[in-house]
Amino acid sequence: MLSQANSFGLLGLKGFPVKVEADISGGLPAYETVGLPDTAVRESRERVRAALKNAGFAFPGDRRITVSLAPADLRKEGSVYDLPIALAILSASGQMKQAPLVRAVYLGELALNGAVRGVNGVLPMVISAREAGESVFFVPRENAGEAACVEGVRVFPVDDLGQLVRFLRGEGDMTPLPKTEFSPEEVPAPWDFGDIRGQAAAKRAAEIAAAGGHNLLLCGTPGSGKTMLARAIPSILPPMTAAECMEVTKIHSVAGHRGLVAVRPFRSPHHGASSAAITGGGVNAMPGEISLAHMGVLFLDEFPEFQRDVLESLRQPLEDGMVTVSRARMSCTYPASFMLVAAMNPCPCGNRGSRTRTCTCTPSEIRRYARRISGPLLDRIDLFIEMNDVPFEDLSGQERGEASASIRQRVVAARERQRLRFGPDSVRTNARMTVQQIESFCPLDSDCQKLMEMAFRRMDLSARAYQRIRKVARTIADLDGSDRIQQKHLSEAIRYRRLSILREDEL
Amino acid sequence: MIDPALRPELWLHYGVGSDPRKFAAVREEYYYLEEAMEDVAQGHMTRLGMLSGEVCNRLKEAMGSGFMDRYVRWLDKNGVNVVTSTSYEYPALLQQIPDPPPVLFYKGTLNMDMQLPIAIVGTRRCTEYGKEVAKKFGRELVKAGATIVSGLATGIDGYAALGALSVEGAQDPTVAVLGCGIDVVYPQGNEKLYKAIAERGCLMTEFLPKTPPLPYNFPQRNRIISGLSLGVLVVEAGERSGSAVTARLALEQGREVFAIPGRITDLMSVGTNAMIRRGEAKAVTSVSDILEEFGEGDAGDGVQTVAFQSLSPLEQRVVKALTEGEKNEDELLQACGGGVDELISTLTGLTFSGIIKQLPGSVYALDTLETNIVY
Repeated sequence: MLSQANSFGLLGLKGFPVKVEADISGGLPAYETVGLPDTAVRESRERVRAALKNAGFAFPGDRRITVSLAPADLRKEGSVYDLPIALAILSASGQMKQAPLVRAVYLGELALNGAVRGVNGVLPMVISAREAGESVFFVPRENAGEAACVEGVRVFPVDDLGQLVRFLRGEGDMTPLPKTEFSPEEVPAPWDFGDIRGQAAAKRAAEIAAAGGHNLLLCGTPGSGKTMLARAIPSILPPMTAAECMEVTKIHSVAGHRGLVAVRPFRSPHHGASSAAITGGGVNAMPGEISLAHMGVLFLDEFPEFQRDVLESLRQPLEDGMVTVSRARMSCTYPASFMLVAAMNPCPCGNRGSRTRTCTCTPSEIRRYARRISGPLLDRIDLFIEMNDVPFEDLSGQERGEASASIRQRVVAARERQRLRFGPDSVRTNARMTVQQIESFCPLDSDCQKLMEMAFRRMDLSARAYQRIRKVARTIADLDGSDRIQQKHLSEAIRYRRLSILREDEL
Repeated sequence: MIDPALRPELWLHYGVGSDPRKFAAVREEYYYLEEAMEDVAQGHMTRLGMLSGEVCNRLKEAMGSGFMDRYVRWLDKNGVNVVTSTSYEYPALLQQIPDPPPVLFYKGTLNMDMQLPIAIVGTRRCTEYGKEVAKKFGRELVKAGATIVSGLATGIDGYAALGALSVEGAQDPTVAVLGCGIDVVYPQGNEKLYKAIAERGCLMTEFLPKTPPLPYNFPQRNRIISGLSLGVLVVEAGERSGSAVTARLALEQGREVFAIPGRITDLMSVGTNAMIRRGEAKAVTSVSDILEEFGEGDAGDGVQTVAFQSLSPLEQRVVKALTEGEKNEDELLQACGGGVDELISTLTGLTFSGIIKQLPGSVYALDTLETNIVY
């Protein structure tokens, strides 16, 4: 007998329908899986056999079983097809009807005792299936939450195979999950700006970076609080909208992180990370750290210690907000619109500029260290800030700083001004302004022009730096609630362009 | 073009491997070096008994067919000029030292009669303070008509040369004496500076072309730095340093020695403070302190004057706070009040007007080398 069940597969973030067909016929006993299955899919045979037996069904082990996953030319991955394969075999062997199997989409991995386990990528599959006209889904209970937040679908959470088959035979009862609302929760951030003592200038730079979506480079002695500051940045970014949550959850779902993502991601890969880990890759072209940091913060500590090719591979995503991962078998595009926060020491020994320790580096060592970050990459970072170590007395003495919540209010207000200025759907933040937009939105009056000329003479700036300074000045004016860039905004912006380690007047 | 008359000296200098003592010994034996060439060509080595076999072989090799032609052609092609201690263009001051280099290779323009050659030397691992001072003295001395002699090393030497070159339109702003061949850029990071000096100043060395920067070349080189100069200014020096060697040589050669005093806790001021303590060097706090030794008038110290009253209230508070010593932004914020945004934009303004300067690690200090504040 022949039978069929509906399921779904994933290519990057896009799903495609998979028809699971099972045929049971006479002949020598055999079990064949066709349709480009990977190892996990091929091994489903053992799980299905055991699960059917232990759930109290008969496995037609004395017949010839052929399982086909169509379309035959796309590669199928993972354990998501266990459930539809088991159902198709049950139907083909006459233990249940065929009809319900083609009216819904079945996803899930089987345990040997017949229980249904969670799988990766349920949310993007459900979204794609919804677009393809499917509306009823049977998914593992573990994944039901993410699936149920899609508009216009009925999601049945499945605990085990026996329960599902009884329901499909009309013997048992199952209730679909009500639509879950993506509520960007007010999760208290693990790090709050109020906990950071001193470092007023660095906190101010972080506020500007958050308000305008600018990338930020922190340079400071070890122990000056670079990591702490970076970790606190998500707490001052505006809360995510439901649509943003959905987008981020999709990516995380593909990468195997279950559950809804409702707070802005903070990713801090180690500097030993490979370029595939950062930008995405592997045989299955999985999303990398930059995509997992989408809508959030990508923190690269010890920035110059990252491999050169890893750093250079950041350039294009920083510009485009997305990355295309191409592998021999497939090519997937993932969103990668993140805020880069990089941290580095002021010199190889780390003590340059410290008042308590002496730097032992030679100028050429410092120069070599600074040169590990290429000019084009630096050109994509708008704000530089130097931090120095806080003496212990200061740590214990000072009162708490301003709390993240009140900084966030200013950031949200500044973002709102930007939204009104740019209108919907185009550029969303000052950092992403095009040259034409800079010309029309960041005019400089004659006082500002004079200041700019002075800055050029004194600081030996490039033409790109000129545009960067104007963008940052625009954000500072937005934070100040001002429609035009004033001299005080510009002179503050210029300050964030200075980094002594990168100064060009050295020999 | 290299004068053919210099060939005998170039030949001997090549043979003795730029050793001034061996050169002098041969000179003593032969008044006319052409005779020595003749003898070597014919294999009569008896009068050259003071030389080792190796040197004799090199001399013979250099007599070989076309060797000197190739050597001179190479020098011409690479824009290298030669001056010998017997020639008229040889720097007069250098002539007076006990063992003047017999042959000097140079690139750029050699002024035999520099108005006021002053050497600025110091540690390679200079502090921010040393860097500022070296640049400032380099610049101000050149403005007063001096030529800065230095060693093109990283650190103080390089910054002094950089300061000298920053004076636009200056005549002979700087001379750099190398511890390696004229065609060797060392340290490599100084390539830009090397080119700039070859263009606007003078690069010189007594070492043969392609000589690597061997450690023992540098003390030998230092005698030329002090020998070329009327005075030597040591900006920063550690406990055991090459600058101390230069200073001692300068004293032996009868030249003036100056030193910039530093804080007693600074490792890089141990050497300079010791020179001052032992009475070997004159403590110098301004360019005029050097100029007055040579009877030069006060050239002004290049410091601008700013009236405290002309500053804005916040600027006044910042300047006041910094008179107590350098401070970072947090400390300034505590001392001056106001918002961090206001403070940061004020700091930019004050930096641009040269009233304060930013040190590594977001620390600010009054730029007393640039600006004098009148209350």
